[in-house]
Amino acid sequence: MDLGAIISNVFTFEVMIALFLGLVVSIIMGALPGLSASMAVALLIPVTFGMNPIAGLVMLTGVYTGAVYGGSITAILLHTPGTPASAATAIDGYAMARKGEGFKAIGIATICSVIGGVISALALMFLAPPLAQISLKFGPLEYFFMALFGLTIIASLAGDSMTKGLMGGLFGLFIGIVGLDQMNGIPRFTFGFLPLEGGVSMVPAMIGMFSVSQVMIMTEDIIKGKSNLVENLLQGRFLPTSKEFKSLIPTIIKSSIIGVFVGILPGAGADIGSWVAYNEAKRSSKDPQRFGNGAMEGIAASEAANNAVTGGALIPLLTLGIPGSSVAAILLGGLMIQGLAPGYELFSKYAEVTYSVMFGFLLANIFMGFVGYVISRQAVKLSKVPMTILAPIIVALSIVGSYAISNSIFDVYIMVGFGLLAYFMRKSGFGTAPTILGVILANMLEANFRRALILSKGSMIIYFLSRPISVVLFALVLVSFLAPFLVNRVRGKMNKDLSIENDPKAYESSDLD
Amino acid sequence: MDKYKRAVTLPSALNDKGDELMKSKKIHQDVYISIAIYVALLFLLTVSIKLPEDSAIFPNMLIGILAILNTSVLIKGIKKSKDSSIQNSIRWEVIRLPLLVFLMVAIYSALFKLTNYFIATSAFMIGLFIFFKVRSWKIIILVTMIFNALIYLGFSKLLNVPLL
Repeated sequence: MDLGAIISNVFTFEVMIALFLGLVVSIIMGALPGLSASMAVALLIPVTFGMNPIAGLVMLTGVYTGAVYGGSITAILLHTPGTPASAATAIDGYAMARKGEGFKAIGIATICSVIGGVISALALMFLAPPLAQISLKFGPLEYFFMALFGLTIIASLAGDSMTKGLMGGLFGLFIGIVGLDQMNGIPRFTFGFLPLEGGVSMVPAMIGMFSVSQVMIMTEDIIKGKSNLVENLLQGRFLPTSKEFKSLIPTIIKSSIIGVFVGILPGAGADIGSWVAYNEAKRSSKDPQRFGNGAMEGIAASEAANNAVTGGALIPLLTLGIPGSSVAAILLGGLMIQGLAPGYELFSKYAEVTYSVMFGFLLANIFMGFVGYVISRQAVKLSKVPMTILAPIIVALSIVGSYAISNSIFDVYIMVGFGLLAYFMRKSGFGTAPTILGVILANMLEANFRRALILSKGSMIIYFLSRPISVVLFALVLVSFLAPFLVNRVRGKMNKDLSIENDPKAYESSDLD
Repeated sequence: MDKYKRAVTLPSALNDKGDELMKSKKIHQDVYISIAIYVALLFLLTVSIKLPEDSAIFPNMLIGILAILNTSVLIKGIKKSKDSSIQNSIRWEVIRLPLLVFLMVAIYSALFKLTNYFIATSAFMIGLFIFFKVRSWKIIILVTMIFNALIYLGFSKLLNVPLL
């Protein structure tokens, strides 16, 4: 492969303009609640009709990664994730913002998004064919255990009350199964509402749970006399110190690998990748108590993973024609518009085009950092806007964002209803993050479990043991579920031993000997 | 209270307990919440048992596990109620204004359906600004107009979302 030809293909005026335009539009769209990466890609596909294939596809892949990153800006500043992929970022990002470190939180999100995206671009360029084979080995049972692994995250998101956190997660699972049963088409819990047969739309529910409930909580603050979201948001640096960055490197690398791997799996998108990485970061942290209170690792894990998913999702798309996420499915349309079909030909006859697009995707992730910095410098000025002005704007934006998804007023009603529910959940300690996670994972969990039951033909144990990937995933599930309890027990015992050692009276009995 | 005491003669220990309960009327909010959850779960169970067996397995499992966990919340709530210094976070004086804001949001969404997005948004934003005591009419009108203009350009024109 001629590197010179690839570089000269990418560094043209048309490609660079397309790349930057795509990044600016996608980051802004990603930041707005209700406007997702899917919408951004779908919106810009027609724009690529008249472009040459490399410019068009570089723009679309750049839009994908930019939109996923853009969601972190409002997640951090307003506790309203612009896309579901940034829901995990909102937990620690907003907490940092409230402490006056909003600019730094965005800086961390930017850097980690860039690194995650670059790692996934490199995986795409150098490891695409072998990694794509992994996606073929995943069947219903493996997907079921992946979803179960995702559910173990609930334990770490539960906050002060594990019971309430689990209840929130189970409630989310319940919400997720409303609609037509995927296996036999029977409507469940729709109560005769036709719009509910398609299920409860996840994005309006998420917008309501985060933003409408936040506005209601802001009302309490406004009554108490608080005028701004947080004082002095503009103070502080954008980039973390070198010491802070060094401490984040293991989290970033691990989360990026998780993101690439999740992205390769069809049906598992950036939202799942970010939660899995967040959980893993918390589980392996020396001080997991910091998570939820402004831990930089929380932001780093979520953002590195969700952007790493973008490249991962392109791997099975380009090699096998199997989209790794819903956005990748839309990108398939963009590929076909340019007269390119996924598969062997893309890496042989059209290899120069393909590798030029991958290189362009790598550049998009790097330039995303600069564009993101410029946009977030302006976005952070939101801190100067009083809450009395911000609150109506957030609601109005949430309404139009929810409506714009499917031009359905029912989605708006869903958004409003979930907003009220989330307000009371937050007031009573049930938390909303486990619920959102439950909604995301519900269909993946139930549908694949039932498919696995059918495929096992009555002997689930034998079926399970015949699939080594399932065995490994099951072991991971057990470790992930039991680890917090075991660690707490060991820590408790260690603290008890330490306190005995430090107690002077502990030596009395041995002295008597 | 005295007339009830004269009419009913109770053993003194029970009288003392009754007085104690009368004094500590505060019940932790978790008790009310878990009762409401039981009612909701019972309702969902009545719907679920009418479903075919395959479709009902997962919902029934969820209802069962939720009921068990809810019992734990109820027990803890009862224990917390014995603490006389409890302060429920869901109190009428705390939630009434956020609920009023929510009512305005609900009216906004209904108005959106009845009219169009821009009329509903203008009414809502002006109403909420006044509610939050924003005094400058210049800011109220300017913010509302600029916001509507941006949404019109971005959503109606660019994304072809039918907001009118």
